Amino acid sequence: MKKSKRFGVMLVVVLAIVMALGACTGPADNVVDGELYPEGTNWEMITSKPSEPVNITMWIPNSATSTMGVGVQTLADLFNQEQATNNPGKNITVTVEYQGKSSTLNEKLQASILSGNNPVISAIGVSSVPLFASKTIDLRRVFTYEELQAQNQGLLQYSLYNGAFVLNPYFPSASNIIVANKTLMSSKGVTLPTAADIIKQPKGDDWTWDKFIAAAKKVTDTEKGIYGFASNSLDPIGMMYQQGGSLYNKTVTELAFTKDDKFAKGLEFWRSLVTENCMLNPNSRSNHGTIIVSEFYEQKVGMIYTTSSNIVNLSKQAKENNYELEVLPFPKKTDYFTNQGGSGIVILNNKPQKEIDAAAEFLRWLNKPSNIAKMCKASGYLPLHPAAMNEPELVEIYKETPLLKTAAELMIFGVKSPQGKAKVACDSEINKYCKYIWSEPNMSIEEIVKKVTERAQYTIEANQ
Amino acid sequence: MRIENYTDAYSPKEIKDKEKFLLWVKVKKRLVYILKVLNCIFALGIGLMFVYPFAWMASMSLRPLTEALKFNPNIIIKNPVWDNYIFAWNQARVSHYIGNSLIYSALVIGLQYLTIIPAAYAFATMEFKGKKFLWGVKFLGMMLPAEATLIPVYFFYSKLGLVDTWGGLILPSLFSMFGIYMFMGAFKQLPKEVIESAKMDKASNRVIMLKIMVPMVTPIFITHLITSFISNWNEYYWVLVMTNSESLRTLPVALRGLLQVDEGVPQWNVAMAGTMIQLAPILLMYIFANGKIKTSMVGNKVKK
Repeated sequence: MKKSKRFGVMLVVVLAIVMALGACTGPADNVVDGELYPEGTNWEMITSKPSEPVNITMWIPNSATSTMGVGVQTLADLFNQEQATNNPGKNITVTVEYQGKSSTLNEKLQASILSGNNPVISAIGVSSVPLFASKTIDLRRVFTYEELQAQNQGLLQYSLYNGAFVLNPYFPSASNIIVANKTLMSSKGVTLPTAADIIKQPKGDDWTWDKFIAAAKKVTDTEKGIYGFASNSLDPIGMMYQQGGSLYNKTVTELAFTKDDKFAKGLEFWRSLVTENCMLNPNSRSNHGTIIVSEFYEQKVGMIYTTSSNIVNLSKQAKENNYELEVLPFPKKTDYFTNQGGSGIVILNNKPQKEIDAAAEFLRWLNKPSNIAKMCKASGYLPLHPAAMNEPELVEIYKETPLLKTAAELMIFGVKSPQGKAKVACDSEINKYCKYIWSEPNMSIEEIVKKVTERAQYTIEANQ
Repeated sequence: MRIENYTDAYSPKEIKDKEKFLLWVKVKKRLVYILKVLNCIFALGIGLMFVYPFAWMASMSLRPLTEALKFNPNIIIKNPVWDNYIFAWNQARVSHYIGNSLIYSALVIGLQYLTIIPAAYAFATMEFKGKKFLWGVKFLGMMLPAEATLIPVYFFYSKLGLVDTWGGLILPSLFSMFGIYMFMGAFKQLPKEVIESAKMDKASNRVIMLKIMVPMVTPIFITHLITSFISNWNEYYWVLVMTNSESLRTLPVALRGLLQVDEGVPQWNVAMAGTMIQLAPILLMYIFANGKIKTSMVGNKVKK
């Protein structure tokens, strides 16, 4: 009896030591990201010339039955077929494996890296770069400087980390855009600027917070259940960039929003959208985020805050019900900002060299404009390479859904995101506590800012 | 002649008490009746609480997209869209994944009793070194949520080469704590005299367990079989984590694709149609074996 107790205690102690060691990954270095190609650095490019067949595995989120899954599988099949035809007996074969939600993929990838049976190439969420950066190869060994320059620079918000080019953002979306029902807005006497005008003259003042509120107010008719604007959440990251500020420093080790009153001004703006009757309080009903989409379909919402992933369905409904849409960036206070969502691809460095070489070959092949176009057609993601927009597949899609092209063009307003281990957790906390502007209508903005600051500060410290 | 006296003569205290008593009986009867009605309403309410989500899900699965996105609590549909089921079936490739779901459930159900019953028998009837410790460790495993143990369990399984194999997939179910606990409780309820008399007749542990004790816990067996089938048929997280290739993935993992997981608004009508397809075997099982399930669930007492 005593022996078994002692054994139990020993087991617990050993487990605790193992877990503690696992948690110690060393201090994050403070290298600030350099330029895409720092001067004087030569990059040895990875090439693959296998002398025998090579099999590699790729992990992606979602399932084989999702549009993303179907798109990736189609490309992998095509690549395997090309390889079998062009390099018989020395061909690369890619097997795609699907891992459900991004969070599940993240956890599973971490566990598999520990045990060494991870895939050589994997998709990860754009915000997860700091988690895997130390285990990946620098993609400047896969793509030339010209190739990287040719990519949509607004989609490289999360690619560089600690001086390395970690992520190929192959599955990107614009996560904070506005889709407007132009027909409904015009019928209420509101003329919206076009995305093309805004892109041409980003310094103009056609689309500011004040003008946005005025437009939304004009459209709102509460008696008929029509609202000028609908959103399920606010956008703390965006509201800071739209005022020329930022939530964090570059490495997410400090809060940057505590230095001035921009954060409070941003919260005031978002709260005023509800108090001035421009939008329905997101806390007023359950499933608000889904219901507002159905209301937009029914022309009861003038403008909706959404992601580019919803554009295909929104356009389809607009066509069926004969109304016109426009895609716009979120209005600015001083600057426009389009946030990047979705996921990207990394190559992991703990696999045999021939697998890494094969993965690099596959990634290069995926990034050909013609293949990017195929992926975007299947899934509705934005094209990483602007040249892909001229491929027949996307020309056809953009003819049918031109707003997808506009959304891709709006990524010009992307800025390089702060990157650090604390970012995901801190973003989540800030989002959660900022919602007090709607759930606690009697709480003053100062109190909310204080609460958010406390939580964010604690989360940053806990995640260093 | 005084009428009061005359009346008094016929209303002695006993009769008054009896009248009071009869009144009380009448009130009591009415109270019991009201309580019965209330009980029925309460039971009906509880029943509806369980049935409503299924009815609502069925109704959602037949709505057009715009209507489904409203999340209207009403379950009546004017123009059912049966195409949602065809779309869900094709999109989730149900005909491929349903086979894997059947194999997975059949393997677990077929093999788990080889380990669960002997383990339960040992814990219930035998004394051995480290019994409490083993029990404690096993119980601790049951308390921890799957998400919390994902990384160490995946690490361990991958080191053993069990990831993405049928073996790795069914292994934990073969040592299910829930099953051991359930059978151990049932074995402990059996009269000790039966076991002792079998031992006096020199019956081996195997004979006592298989020929005497297991037949006596048949209702428990059926209950466990049903709950085990339901939980394995619906298993999502474990299958997702422990498999990589589509040749082993089951229906719940495939249906997740209908939600498009991370971004965009899902087509809830199609997702619900997929879920209804997944639930169909369980619902059919309940419809056709309703009585037996109730007996095994409610009247799951061991035969004495």
